Amino acid sequence: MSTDITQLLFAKAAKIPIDKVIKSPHFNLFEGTNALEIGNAKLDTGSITLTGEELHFDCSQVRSLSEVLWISDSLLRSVFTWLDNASLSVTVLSNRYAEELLMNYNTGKDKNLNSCLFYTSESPTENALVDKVLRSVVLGTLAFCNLCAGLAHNGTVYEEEDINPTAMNLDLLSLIDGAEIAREIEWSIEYLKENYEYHEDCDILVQILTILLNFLDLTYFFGIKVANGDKPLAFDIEILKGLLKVCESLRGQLDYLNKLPEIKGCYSMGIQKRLDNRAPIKALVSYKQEDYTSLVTFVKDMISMFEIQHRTEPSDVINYVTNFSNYPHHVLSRAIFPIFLLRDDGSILGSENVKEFLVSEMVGFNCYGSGAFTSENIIIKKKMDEFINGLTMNYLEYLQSFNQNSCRQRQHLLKIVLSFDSLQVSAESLEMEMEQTFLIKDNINQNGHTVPALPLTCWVYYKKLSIMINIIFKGFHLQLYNTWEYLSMYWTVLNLITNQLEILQRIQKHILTKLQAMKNHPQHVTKLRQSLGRVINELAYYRMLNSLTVLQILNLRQLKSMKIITVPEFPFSNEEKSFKFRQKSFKSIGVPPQPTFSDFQQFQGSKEPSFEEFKSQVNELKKSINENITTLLSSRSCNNGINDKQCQDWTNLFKRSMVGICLNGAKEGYNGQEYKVEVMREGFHGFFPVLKCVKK
Amino acid sequence: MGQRNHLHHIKSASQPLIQESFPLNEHPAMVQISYSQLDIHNESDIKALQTLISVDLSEPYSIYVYKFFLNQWPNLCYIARDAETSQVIGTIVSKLEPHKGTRSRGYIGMLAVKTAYRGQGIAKKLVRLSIEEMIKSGADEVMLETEVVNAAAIRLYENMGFLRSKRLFRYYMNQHDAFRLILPLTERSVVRSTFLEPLKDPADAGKLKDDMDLLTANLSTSSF
Repeated sequence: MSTDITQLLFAKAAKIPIDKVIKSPHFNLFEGTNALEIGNAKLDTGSITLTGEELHFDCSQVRSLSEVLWISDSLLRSVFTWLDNASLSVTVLSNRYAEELLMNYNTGKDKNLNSCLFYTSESPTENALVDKVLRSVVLGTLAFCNLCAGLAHNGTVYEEEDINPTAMNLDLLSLIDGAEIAREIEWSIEYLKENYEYHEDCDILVQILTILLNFLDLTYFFGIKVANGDKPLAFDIEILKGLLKVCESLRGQLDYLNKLPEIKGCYSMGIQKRLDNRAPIKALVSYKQEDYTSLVTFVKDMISMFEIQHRTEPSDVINYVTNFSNYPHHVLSRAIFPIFLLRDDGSILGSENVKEFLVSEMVGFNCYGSGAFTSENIIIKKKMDEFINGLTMNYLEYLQSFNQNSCRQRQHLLKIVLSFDSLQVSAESLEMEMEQTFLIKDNINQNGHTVPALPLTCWVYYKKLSIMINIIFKGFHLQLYNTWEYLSMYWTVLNLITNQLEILQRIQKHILTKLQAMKNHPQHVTKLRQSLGRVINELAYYRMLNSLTVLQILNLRQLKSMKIITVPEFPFSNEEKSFKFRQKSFKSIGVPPQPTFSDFQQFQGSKEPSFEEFKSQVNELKKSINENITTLLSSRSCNNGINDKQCQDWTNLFKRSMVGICLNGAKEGYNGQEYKVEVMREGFHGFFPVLKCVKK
Repeated sequence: MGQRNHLHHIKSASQPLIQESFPLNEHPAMVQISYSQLDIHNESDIKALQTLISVDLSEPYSIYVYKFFLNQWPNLCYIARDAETSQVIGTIVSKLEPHKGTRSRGYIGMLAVKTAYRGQGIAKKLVRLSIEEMIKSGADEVMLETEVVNAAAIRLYENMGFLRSKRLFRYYMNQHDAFRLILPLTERSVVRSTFLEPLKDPADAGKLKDDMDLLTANLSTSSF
């Protein structure tokens, strides 16, 4: 039953003042931006004009093998253009076969495979290539889209920003069993082999169908258990390697595929007119934007993900996760990674639960034999359990930040750092209580004094500092700082690295003290030596960062004194306000104390080294950087074979930055009147872009 | 009531605030540019402004977006005109609202200058006028987003003291990342909102109340 509300609407509207905006609490600016506006040529999808070919496109038309190949190839490529930040409506769903099949499925009574048709009328002729082969391609493609959209809804990556799952209110075959679609695809492969064996297009079409068939099994890979230790993986990685070969072979056919004649009207903006669409008018994204490189990248990512099968200790997982975050990946791999790493049952890789993993990570680093973990006292056990539960929640968030896009990673870390700061306070009070009330002594000698070692607190502090250091360095990587800010930002991060080195040296001393005390217990000695190895590795990493940061600072001070870099005069702000704004993120952090602007000014005002001194310091720093990189590479190459090459490439980029800074930095006699700086990033580490002096 | 609230900020919409002269790229003769706040009743100016922005910016905006900005913050919308032809050749559209209830945050939503008039500092002038007006209205900071590839815009804002606070992944419909730029104006801008006292601005509270009353009145008399 309908009600005519015209008069009521006019009566209500007449009461609204002309220049008054009425803002509903359910409506905000973002929604306003997306509101459709009738008559607006950029927003009104009703104003889309379709060509004759689009209007009269006939899905029941008999197609040749080449035509079916063109449609299949363009459709599969469209999936990857969709996943490259486009929407379904301008990629996969703009394909008329996909639209028609989905419409028939969605409006069908039972929503089953029988309703997945391109047309509902009787076909006048035998049309197996379209009705069976092409249909199975479309079915496989849409099932894959459904999986991808599901991953976006799952929340491991950002909806819209990473994957836009909006499907114009169409169900993407979610009610059809993958096994049914697999049978359709298998039938098509057999049919093609029997009937078109010597046709060149047959092989390529079979490759497309094979890829789609493999994609139907993707979820199986997410659930594979990767136990810690030497247990063999109950899964053959060769399946994925075989898939990669097919994908690479398909990519090799690109020139041929690009020469296939297009079928006019097969891709159309018409779906934006016909179906529920809350987006502005969007032009179609050509399938040719994808050359199957994304497909290959995705499959390579999947193979690389399974390198974790060689893990033997918690640090392997940490290196694996860190390594994943250091490199760009296909968005689908980013969506799958956390599902593979952190399972629904609360376990890491289907094996130990996160809490157990966290404890083993702490014990394996600096808490081995710590009373906090070994005490049988019920009260301590209870308090520790509460603390570890809190820490686990935050640790989980920390692990979930690594698969995010590079912009989001930094934002996630900014949130997490505050939690780690609170946890550090809790850890310290817990350990002091253990020492004072329960007389659990765990001491080290610090400058001739016996002080509590506080291993729990040290671990949290070390983690917090590593997050803070990452936040600042990632700012360089994301190009957030202007060159005139470089000095203050490197100076700030140097302060944090210095603190990190102090805490790591303290941890090292603690382990050495324990080693001395337990030298007659070989079992303990082995474990403690493993811990020591990890700490030495971390020390090498932060010493390398320290030296590179000092190198940048020395160069920046020269550039400033030569007036090649100057702080501009701002009409509404000044250097102090800018400095404070940058420090805002860490404002509430208690330890280490945050430097003030006057601290920075004092540093800037301190005596600068002469050019000779500068050169000699640079040589010392280069030596230190090289030594520490050698230590890092030798330990990383023994990383149980997990992402070795990527680890080495990552470390080598630091070396390239060192060379770049030395070659392109300030030289004697330069001045601001003649020279300016240009930032060079390509080929250098994102944390240490190179400032090149160039003539104005 | 609403009209008075929104219009009392406007000094004299029909009179230009500032007039500047410079040679236009395509015409060697000196061109005079006048700057004024938007007159919300001037439909042709609003239309011209919309056209200018629509041609210039990659994002499509509906009438609701314009209404949202222009009706609530007409004082923060400036227009640059070719004084000779009276043609609107540049505009800036902004707003000023409490952010997390703790600081007053200005936002530059749109800025456009007609191609033939670019390179003469018109955009810079418009931004300055808008920020100065925001400062008068108690802004603690000003924010905006711009494409990472828009070097000219980034340079313009950074020369005024804007800092890149965040990089936003594939923020625009054309797939480009954006930088979120913030200009810190007061001490409140450099303190985390968690540690700030809530804003106590009766004008803001009153404005919100007016809107809510009107909304409630409309909803309560609605029978559908």
